[in-house]
Amino acid sequence: MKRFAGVVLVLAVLLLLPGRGFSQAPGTFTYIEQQIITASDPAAAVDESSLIAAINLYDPLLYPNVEKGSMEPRPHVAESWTLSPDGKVYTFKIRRGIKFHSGRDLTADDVVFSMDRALRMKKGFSWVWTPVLEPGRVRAVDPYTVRFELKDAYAPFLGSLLLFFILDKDLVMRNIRPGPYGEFGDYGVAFLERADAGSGPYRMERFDRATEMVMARFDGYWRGWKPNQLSRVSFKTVTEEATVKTLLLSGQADMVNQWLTVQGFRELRQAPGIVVKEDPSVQLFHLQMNTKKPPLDNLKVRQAIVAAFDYDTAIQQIFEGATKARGPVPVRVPGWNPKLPAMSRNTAKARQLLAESGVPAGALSIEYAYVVTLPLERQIGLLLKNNLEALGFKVEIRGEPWARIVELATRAETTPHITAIFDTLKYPHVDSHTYGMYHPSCWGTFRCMSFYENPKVTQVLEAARRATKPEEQTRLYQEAQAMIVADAPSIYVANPLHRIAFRDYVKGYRYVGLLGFDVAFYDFTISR
Amino acid sequence: MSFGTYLLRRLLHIIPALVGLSILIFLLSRVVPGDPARLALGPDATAEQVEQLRREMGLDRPLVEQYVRYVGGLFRGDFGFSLRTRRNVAQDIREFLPATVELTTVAMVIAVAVGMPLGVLAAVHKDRTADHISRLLALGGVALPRFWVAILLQLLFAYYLGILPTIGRGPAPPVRITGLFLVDSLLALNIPAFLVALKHLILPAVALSLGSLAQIARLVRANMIEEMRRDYALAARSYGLPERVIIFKYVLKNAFSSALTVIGLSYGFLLGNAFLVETVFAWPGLAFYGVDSLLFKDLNAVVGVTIVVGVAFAVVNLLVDVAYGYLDPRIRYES
Repeated sequence: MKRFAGVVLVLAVLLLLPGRGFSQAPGTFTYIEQQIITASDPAAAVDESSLIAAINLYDPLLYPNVEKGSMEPRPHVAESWTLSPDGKVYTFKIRRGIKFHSGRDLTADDVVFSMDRALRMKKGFSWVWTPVLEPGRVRAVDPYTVRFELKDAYAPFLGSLLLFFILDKDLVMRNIRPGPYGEFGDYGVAFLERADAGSGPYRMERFDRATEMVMARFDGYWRGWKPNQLSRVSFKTVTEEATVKTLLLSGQADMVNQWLTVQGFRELRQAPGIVVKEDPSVQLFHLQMNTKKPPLDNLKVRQAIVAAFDYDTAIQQIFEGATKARGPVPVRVPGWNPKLPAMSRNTAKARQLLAESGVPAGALSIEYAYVVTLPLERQIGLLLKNNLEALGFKVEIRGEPWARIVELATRAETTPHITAIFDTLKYPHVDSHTYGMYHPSCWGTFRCMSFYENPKVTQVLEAARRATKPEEQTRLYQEAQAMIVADAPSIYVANPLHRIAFRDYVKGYRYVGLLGFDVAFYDFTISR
Repeated sequence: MSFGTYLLRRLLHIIPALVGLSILIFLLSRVVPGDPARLALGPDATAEQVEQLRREMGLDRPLVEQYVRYVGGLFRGDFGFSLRTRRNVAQDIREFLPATVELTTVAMVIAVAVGMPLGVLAAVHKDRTADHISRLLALGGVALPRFWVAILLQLLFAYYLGILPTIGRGPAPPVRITGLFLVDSLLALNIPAFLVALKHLILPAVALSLGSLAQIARLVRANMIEEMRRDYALAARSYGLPERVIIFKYVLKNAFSSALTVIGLSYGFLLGNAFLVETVFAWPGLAFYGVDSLLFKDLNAVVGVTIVVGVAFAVVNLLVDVAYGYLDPRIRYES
């Protein structure tokens, strides 16, 4: 018995001695994300964690102009490009000297292969290109020139290429397995689970989907390396907010993602050695009104609701700081219409509009749906209920899981009267929050729960997409925004702040608005 | 009835239970709201993309056909394709199951190793200080939410004292044999790796064990008090046997048999319900994977996890039945 107790005691001492097994490995930068990396294949990446992996392991054809704090595309893998007068043919010159992690040179063939692969697989952001491209429409003119022949002029095309990542054709094709893509087998999907085929600043060293991706600096990266840049990165997944905060506060993490609560960031801001950076985001928070469902099929009722909502309380007390939304396009996005007014509560106007609507008081019964895991959306619902019940509405508030909201959005009959939605820019173009939300082709998705339809707006949006001159595009998109706002398909509440927290020795962070592009580890340096 | 027949009958009982479970979870996973193909592709996917994925997954076929194909796949070790991780669910389960098995096993070891002596102590010192302390601990174990205790343990031992790790399982041993880090490091005679793995296990296992620990302690206490009043205990005392022998050799053996049921049930329960503790400690286990899959309506993963947990539950309870039958032959004859 005494011997057993002795063994237990020795084991306990050994276990409680501080050890290095759980501390941060020296020279490794630790970034924490609260959602798993669902796709290590860049052609399937849509969420933030997967995009961060793609941005660091691969090179996109073009890159946002982060140096100027802008999301406008600038040269990257493509060093220059030309556009035909009809706006349909883009010709890109590929930069020489870019090496894949395999050591092979990146050429036009890899660009053609990567786009055809994306179009055939129909995953990730391929939906942005399928309206104007299909396999075979991208051709290599010579080893360093590639031509995209679009079916039609397409205003958001250039911007969308920031999300087009180039893969090493030879490496992928050497590693295909049987799969659904005919001669291309599985297109290397299984291979890309455990390795990368990119040319980005980091190469994948290890990937455990549920916990961690370790990336190591690629010495042959074409942009070169400067002192104090990160040589090794541990990209960890930790979902619990309390744990995420503990890791940052204790120095076991260097940077944590944007998905903490407002209260969480408030706590971190007060801690020594922690920087919480806030920027106006390219997100729109709005309350979509189902324009096909009575009484919201009545324009005056919708306008009354827009006038009745208390925007200032929402911004100051619920969001604890945000930019007041001015129409569907976030104010940071190039092409936003600056002539649109910021909304304020006007109860008298709301009452007048309601009286003009001719809808009897008994018919003013509506339901408000929100994502049940987001308490902020519930608070907004309570505010709306309070505002509208003062006018004689009956408001029922209903929390639903996200999966249910997506399901409800498929038909106008099942879509609630009002639904709270956070909608971030899908591609770096004003088209995302205009055509993508108010052209009838998007009906059936969560982005279009207003089922908005105005033939004139549809016409303007289509003309904007086909316009070849940037100034003409801008004019048309801004015209569409004004028309949409006048039809009140949504209560445009806020462009929330983007927040992220890191240790104060981390330098070089910059928010550009595009999902994931702010966490490009190549941009960071350590300065202690 | 011989012990072999008893075992065979118990084994046969498992089959209809598992068939029923598979039908139930298969149907339930398909009627809960949300289109899995749309959720997998992201809300921006076109209708064409969604349709293509639905065809690839066989979701456009009748439910009965889907079920038959699924069960056929199970016999080939094919659990279907996960929409979330984009690989076969069997591969995911192989990766995540050992972490949960290791965590749950260590938690149960703690629960039994602490719960049983606590129960004995409380029974022997009934209505005295030791009993009150044991009651308080047991009440705390049941009443305090596991995730909250987990966060407190994390703050104290990882953040303030810095003596135990905050998250994860630690580095994997160089050779993967069972996927259980403790076992693999011991098999490789790698003691430093064993200690690191054990350090990572302590906090999550303690947090996870509290509920079962409390249940075992209370049950052992109640049974012990009852057994200590029985004639055989009185007779032993009359013979002048030392109290320690009476308690540990005779009374505890009888009092422990009902705690065995609780241990079996708890083990099966924890396998599927370690979710909150796994979340707090970023533990890459099956429970976390299962709940994540459920939220994203990853059909094959949900069904796969449920079947694996169901099988584990059935196996653990079979072992408990066997142990019962072995310890108390009357149970076999009554069967």
